[in-house]
Amino acid sequence: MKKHSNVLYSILFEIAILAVFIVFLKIESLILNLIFLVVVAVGTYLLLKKTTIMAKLRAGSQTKGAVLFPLVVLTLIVPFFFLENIYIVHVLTLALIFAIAVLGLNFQIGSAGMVNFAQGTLMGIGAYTSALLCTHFGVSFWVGLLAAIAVSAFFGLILGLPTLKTKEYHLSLVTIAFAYVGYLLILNMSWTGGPDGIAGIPKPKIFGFSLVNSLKIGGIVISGTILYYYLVIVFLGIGIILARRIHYSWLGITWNAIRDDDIAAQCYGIRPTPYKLLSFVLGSIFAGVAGVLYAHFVGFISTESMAFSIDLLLVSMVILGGMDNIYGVMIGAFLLILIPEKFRSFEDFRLLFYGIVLVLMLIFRPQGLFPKRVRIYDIERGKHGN
Amino acid sequence: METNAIKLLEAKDIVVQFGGLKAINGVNLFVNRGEILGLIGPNGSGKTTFFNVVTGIYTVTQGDILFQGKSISGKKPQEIARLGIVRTFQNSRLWFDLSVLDNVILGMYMRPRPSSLLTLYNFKKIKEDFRKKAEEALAILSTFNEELVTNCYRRASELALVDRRRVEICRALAANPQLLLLDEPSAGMDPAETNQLMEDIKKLKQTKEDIGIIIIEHDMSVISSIAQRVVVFNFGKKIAEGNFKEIQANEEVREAYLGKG
Repeated sequence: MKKHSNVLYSILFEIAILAVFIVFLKIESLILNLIFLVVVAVGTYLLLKKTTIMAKLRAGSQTKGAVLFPLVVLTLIVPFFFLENIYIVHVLTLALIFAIAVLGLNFQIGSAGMVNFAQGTLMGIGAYTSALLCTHFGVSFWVGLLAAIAVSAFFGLILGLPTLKTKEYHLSLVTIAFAYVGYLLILNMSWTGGPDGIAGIPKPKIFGFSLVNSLKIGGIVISGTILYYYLVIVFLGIGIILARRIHYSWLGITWNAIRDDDIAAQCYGIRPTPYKLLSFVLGSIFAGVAGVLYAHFVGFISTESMAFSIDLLLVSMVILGGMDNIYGVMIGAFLLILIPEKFRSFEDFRLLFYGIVLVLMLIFRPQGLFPKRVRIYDIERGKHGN
Repeated sequence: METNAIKLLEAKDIVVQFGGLKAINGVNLFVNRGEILGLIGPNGSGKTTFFNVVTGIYTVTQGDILFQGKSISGKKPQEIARLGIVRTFQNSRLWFDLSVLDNVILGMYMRPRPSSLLTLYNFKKIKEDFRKKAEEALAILSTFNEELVTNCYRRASELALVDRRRVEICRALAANPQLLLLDEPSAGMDPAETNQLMEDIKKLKQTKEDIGIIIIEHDMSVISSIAQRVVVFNFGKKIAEGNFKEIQANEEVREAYLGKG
């Protein structure tokens, strides 16, 4: 019985989070929204102090599926709260796409400890690959996606090669150089559309059904935008499963060893080179997929969508959310897409906002909102630790 | 005379030079299987440099190092580790953001591991492998110190100095080495903790008779209680070798430690 009530608590908690989220997106007035955020922050603080409730929540989350199942259902319902303002769904989809890219970037920054400033560029490479193939050669979205995965993985490898010789901020400088070279090449070559970019990128078709159209099931009409939102959810779901499995496999733990002390790692038989390269290649595949989803969603891409500010944005998401915490970095992506989008009247100050967030985080909470967690194993002893 | 059997580790006339400085200058040294060799000498006499050169962090300028009769000089640290030489560090170099348990599990990196490709289609196998290794890691920690088992989910950075050194030794044991290099394991410990550590090492020696150990120490009581043979370094040269009593009686050693007069 007690177990059930704990699960109920965690489901209620999830609904509460979602309600806060929806109300935040619904309120149009800036002042009301700020007041609302303050109320929520105070409420969260009071809740965290109630240890009995927190314990129940934690116990509830132990039950398999208790967190995941309601979360999936709630995520699928969300778009229907915004039918009269589909633009919000549009922004949510963008946030999900960035969450995919950030999961990949986390392999480098979070797991292996290499700050990569070229993830936005790799997203752009993926986007351009698919966009060029689809508009010039008329291939389908899926062929474009596979090609983009291959191309971005290849460029990830190229970007990873200097990691054999450089470390720490030297390595970051190399990635910045890579980002600028990529940006300038695409801007100055004619077959990429140069500064005009590529327009008219088609929406994907699933079993012949194009996501331009609305789907009617019974009396419910699901618009193309919402369908695309679902498509991105599927990709993000696959991404989360992969990232989680990688984190809990030898690959993830070995990356951590290289990050924390690579000399010690070598003295225990670990060859850092292939692991570092692999983190770039895998991360770039995530970037490539995110880029393709972005290109076909917006329908138009130019070098503006792979500018250095995007690279910075992605790094900020990882630092804000929490390095090496899969859920943390995704929350970072959501916050940094949705909050500026809500306060659009301050659009000119967006870069300033990212900068302030980054500086405040690095000073007051360098481990991020959700710090990395210790791996817990299914063993008898030692449970009283932590 | 020593037997003709192949030595576990043998350094032949090695020289390690940094610019004009010869950190090690023509040292001959060996360890047999199952032997504990003490390595002592004043600060800067080349002891840690010797460990660094054996584990491949530095390379020898001249001379050769043989492990089980085969040359290992010029090999990379990870290749040497795979042959079975594992060390601890003077300023403990754990993976500080990882838990105690993860540190020891990572010590088993060189053992057979399930392929990472299994992540894609058979994740259960990977989980099972980790569960087994975590249990084994706990067993290693518990033979050393029960308190480490209680703290197994603590981050290495949260541990006290003594416990860090203990975890480092546990991590080294998890690698199942043939030659274990301990770099000042008792530094910073009080006498009671040092005694405990010595007991732990003796216990380890009983469970793994075959293992060769070289231990760098400043604490002479440690050396006298566990080292079967002692080598003394000074200014990058070996100045004496023998059992602890012989070393104690040696004039040159006294001079190196106490100065002339």
